[in-house]
Amino acid sequence: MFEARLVQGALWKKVIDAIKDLLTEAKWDCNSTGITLQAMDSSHVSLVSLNLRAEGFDTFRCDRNLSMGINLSSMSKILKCAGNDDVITIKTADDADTVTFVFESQNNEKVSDYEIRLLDLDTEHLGIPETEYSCVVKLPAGEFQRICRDLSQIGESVVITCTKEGVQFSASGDLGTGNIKLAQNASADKEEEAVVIEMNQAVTLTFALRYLNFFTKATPISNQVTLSMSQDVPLVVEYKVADMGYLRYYLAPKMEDQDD
Amino acid sequence: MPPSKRNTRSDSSKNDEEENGNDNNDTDKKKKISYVKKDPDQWIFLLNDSIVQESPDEENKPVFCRLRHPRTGLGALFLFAKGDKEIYEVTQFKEENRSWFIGNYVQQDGSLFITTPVDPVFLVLPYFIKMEKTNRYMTAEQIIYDDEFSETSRLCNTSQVSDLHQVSQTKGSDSLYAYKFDKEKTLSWLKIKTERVAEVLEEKKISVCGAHSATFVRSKKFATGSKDEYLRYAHGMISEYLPQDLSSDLRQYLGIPSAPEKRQSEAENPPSKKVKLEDITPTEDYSKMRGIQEDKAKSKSKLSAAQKKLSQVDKTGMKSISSFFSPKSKT
Repeated sequence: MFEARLVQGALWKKVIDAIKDLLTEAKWDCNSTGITLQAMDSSHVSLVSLNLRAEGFDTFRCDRNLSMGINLSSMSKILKCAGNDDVITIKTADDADTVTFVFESQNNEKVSDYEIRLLDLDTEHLGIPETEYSCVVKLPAGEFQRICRDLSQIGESVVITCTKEGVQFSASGDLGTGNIKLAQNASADKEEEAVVIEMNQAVTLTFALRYLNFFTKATPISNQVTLSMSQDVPLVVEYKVADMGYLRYYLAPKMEDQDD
Repeated sequence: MPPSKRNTRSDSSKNDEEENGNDNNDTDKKKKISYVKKDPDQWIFLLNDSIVQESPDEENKPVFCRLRHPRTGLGALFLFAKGDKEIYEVTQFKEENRSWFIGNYVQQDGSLFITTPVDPVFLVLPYFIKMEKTNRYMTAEQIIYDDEFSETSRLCNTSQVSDLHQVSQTKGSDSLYAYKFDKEKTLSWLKIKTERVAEVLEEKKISVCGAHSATFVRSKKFATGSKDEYLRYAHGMISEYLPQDLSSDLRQYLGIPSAPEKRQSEAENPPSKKVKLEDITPTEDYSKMRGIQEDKAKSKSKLSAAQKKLSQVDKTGMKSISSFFSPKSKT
């Protein structure tokens, strides 16, 4: 028996909105410590890693480790049926082939439940080691979203250059070039507006902007986003899920030497 | 009864059969069967000579009996001959406004009775199947018994042990045999029968596909049906003498698809033109190609609009994410 109740039901909606465009279906691994999800997009150049700890839920019960294969567009449709203030409970029996979503309105006047079929997914699980990155940039999530959106007008890919002075995003295309420079700004009044750069070594990396634009769909989840970069390894875009865990996106860099 | 003796309408292909009016001996027999009332004096029969040319020994006279038909389960007329050693199916061919001229007489009843030898095993099969439930070995007398048709017990004399063992497991010695229905044996026996019928059909070049006039001559070489078609037709003929369940079992056993039978049942209601249109199939089959395309379309349609956009991204220089992270160890 698995049951996870979350008073802040809107969080589920945000999480699904953040990943449903990148992934068609995914396996939700549930164990006593929480829920994790790891999946690659269809072209296998990006990876989504979601971690929601058990403590973050209002009630969490998982008697046996189980993994639920769910079609994310179906799940998104179901969650659209939930109100923003609803309490969402997700539950399934140990050997069931369906998962049930229960939405309770705040004053308990309305309870709706939806059931969808589970899929039998055969996905490989990648081991992602915790590594030190050369550069870790923390910036407001909204700012990052804006940068990616703006630069995608100019070109298809963005070059991220991280130096001591700050971080620069630049794109070039048929109509011209565009550069956005962000300086370190730790002294901002509000914590969520700060731009913090931790750097061991300067890096310059190129990424496909369209992917980054998909990642920024997670912006509603968190005020801050963390970009972790090392030369020639995937970029990590991390959104913290308040008090519960994180949603991380990994994206393989474009490597120039490969082209030559 | 000389005036009734006739030798007209001789059928050259059936040398062994000859049309006979009924003589007095036969008429005596007829009188036994009180339920045939139309013309109690005489009927026109198509019989094998050997049946009527028997010694007038009272015991061995041919007898007409009403027995349960294996297909319908209803009563039907059969003829026992040669001391119950042979049994013939009696079929009446009757048309309205038809009479016979016999010598100087006119016989009002113009129907013609045709007798055809029938394998008694077909007639006893329903009783064997019925007794299968008891799962016991029983003697033929016990099995072949019918409350409604008392003459059924005559079949015991007609069916020999050698015949019955085709459809049953046998126990006992010459003096007393006991039988138990065996479906496997029955089906293999019926299969041989069906195949033989199919062989004859093919030999005689009987058209089994579609209907056309018997006198119709094709300009090209006769388009004969395939082996399967003959087998299906033969199965249909054999099924005339089998209970419904056994008939469908036999069809499965022979590996004949049941689809054509469906069509037959549909044919009972006159098919509308629409149905006919649907039946028309193209001369070339593109469905295979189409299937492939559909599959492709399916896998594509799985992707959302957003994912389609993503798949258009120029991924040159981008390595698969799994080349960065090892797929084995779990974090």
